[in-house]
Amino acid sequence: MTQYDDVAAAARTVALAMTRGKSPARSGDYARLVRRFDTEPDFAQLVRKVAQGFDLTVQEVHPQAGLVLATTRETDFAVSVTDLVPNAENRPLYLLAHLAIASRAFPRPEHLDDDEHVARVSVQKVDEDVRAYATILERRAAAADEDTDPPAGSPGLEGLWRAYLRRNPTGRTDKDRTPRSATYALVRRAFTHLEQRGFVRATSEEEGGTYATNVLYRLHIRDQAAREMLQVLAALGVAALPHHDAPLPSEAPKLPDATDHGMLPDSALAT
Amino acid sequence: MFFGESSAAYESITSRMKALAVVRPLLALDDSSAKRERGWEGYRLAELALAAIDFVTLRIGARTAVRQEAVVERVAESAALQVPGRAGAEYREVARWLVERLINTERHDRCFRHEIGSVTGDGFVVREFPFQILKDVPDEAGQAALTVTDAAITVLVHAVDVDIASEQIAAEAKLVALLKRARIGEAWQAARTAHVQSIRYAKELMDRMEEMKRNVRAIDWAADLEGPLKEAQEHVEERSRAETQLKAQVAQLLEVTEEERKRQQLEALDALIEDCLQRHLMLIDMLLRVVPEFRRQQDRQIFVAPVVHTRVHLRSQLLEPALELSIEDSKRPLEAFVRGVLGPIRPRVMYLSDYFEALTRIPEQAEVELVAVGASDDWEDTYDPPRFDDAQHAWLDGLLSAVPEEGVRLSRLLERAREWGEGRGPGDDTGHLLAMETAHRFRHVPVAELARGEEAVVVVDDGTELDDPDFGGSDFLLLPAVGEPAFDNVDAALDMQPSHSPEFAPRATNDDLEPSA
Repeated sequence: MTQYDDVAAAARTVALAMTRGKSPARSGDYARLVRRFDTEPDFAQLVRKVAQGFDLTVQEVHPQAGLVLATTRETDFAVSVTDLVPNAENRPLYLLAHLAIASRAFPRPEHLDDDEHVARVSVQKVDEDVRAYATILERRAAAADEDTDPPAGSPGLEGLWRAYLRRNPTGRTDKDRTPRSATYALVRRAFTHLEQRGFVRATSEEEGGTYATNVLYRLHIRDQAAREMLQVLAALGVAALPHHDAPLPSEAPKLPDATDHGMLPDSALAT
Repeated sequence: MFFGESSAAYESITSRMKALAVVRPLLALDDSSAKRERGWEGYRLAELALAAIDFVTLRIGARTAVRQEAVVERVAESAALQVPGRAGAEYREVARWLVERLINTERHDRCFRHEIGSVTGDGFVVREFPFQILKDVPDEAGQAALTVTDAAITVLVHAVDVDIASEQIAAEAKLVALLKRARIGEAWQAARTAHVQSIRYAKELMDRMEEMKRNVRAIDWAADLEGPLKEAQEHVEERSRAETQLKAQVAQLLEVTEEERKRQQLEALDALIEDCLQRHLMLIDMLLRVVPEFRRQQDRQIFVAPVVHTRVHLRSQLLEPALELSIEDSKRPLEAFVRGVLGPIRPRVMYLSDYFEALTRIPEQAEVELVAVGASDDWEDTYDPPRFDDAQHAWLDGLLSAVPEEGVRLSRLLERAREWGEGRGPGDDTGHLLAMETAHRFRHVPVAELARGEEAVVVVDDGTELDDPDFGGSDFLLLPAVGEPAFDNVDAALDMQPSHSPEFAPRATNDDLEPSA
């Protein structure tokens, strides 16, 4: 095999990774390429370089999900959020819905590492999760007698929690003409986009729509999304330590915790 | 540690209690309030649950897991069997609800629990026994799918836990005996039992391989793999031989059996044995793969540094801080998250059909109140003004009804039309109407009128050239004609266009009236 064939094989590996629904388990071609990546360091390096050419990075190879790629800020191959949600007013809450879905699907850090973890998440539960914490923040603000109204003319300064609470779970929120979505609709749209890209699968219409997650979704969150958001938050000066119900890597991985059913953390219940 | 007589005796009680506990969630289905609330009294839910478990068990051999939709479809079929005459949607609803109860989606950790006492070195203790029946797992491509737990196979499919190999031999012997006596229905049952046994073997091996993929260090080659591998190999060889014989026996029986029902049963049995053989081939394939896979996993896991991830608690470290931010500040971190979640996408090359799709797509912002595009009465408001007015039509009708016996040339009629039109001001186009009417009559001989014996004007082209400033072509001759009333069914026949369906048109009439073009 010539070096040019190797380049073609490396490029093919990246192309397969970017095609929806491809898995080494279902394609002999893909399986061979993944095996080469595992066993030939030179080939692995070639694949990394091809990905780099697209401004993508190789995260890992996984027996089920295949080659896992991550986007960089520069790449043209990332999804444009503006295209997904043209309405600027809905956009922040739509983005929030994505985070809330993930946090519901992986309530503890070790779930992100569990190869067998399949989560079932419903629109209603996601909405309840966000609403519960937003309500806590509302009470806290009321107790501290804070002024939560944003200054006139700069609605962007309004707290995200407040923007969420101003929307009803279902139906229209107010009589004015702004096209506002109810929060169920926004969460549902996030699920729809995940489903279109093959990260979740609809299992039933119960609770506003229930979906099951797959392996690639978990890997994307573990390998890239969570880490990068944490970094951006840190750059903003926001750094939250994990709650006590989230064991640090040094602690025992499994603590029998009867209260943890993915609902509110203890601190929230106490408020 | 000391195990006395009582502890040994109690061990059996503990294990039987565990088996009984697994049955409980199934029996509870028929007592659930949901059954009454939703009006599902007619269904035997526990039995449907067994159907679901059977289906998953029989399907997980070939692939490691089964899609939930497939299970739901199958259970819905059984539901339709139990309560005929309901809507298909109801069967599916029952089935979906039931499957989710078996997965136990209501509990976050998905476990059923039952408290069971046991005797240990420290005396009598009551422990919680957690178990699952159907379980969400990623399939070989990482998509969510269902598998059935060992507990469920053991208790609910097989009823008792016995040594696999010996039971298989018994099942096969029984099968042969039954076949000899041609009790095919029972033979099918026995074959199915043997089938399930093979699946259990496959699943056991599969589990070992999965475990190996996760952590090769947890497997001791000599103790965990070498022995069982040898055993499985022997099993496969023996069973393949036995099943090939059985297949031959079934084929013989098929040759001599003439009764239709028995033949069908035999064919079903044949298919089942064929499936068993396929499964054995798969087992052999797995056996061949185990050793290389073990080495490969050893290479992968022991010699490659494990990937290190930042451990993030999504809720407390990301979701809650984000909610506290202002809309503006939250934008960048949230966008970073969503970009990561959705990952890279392959840009689409636009094809013509994509443009069509893009143009016809309903915009996402469906929540904007849509303005009604058109009320139903809109169509009545718009009309096309007629090209020719009523006076022109009336005048032309008069002209045509006055065609003299010897006929008249189109050129002459055009002259008269223009004369008449002058009185109506410039730009009058009655000539056009006349020309169109003439051309129409030339192409469509008024056969229907003529056949009824009425008078009609026919247009004939005798080759004379038309000399006219506005129109060209032939100077047609217009002639009045009267037809002879034809035979009875003529109306029906003439409703059709003669030119389009000459085989149905009365040939004679047609020829008579055809202009000599």
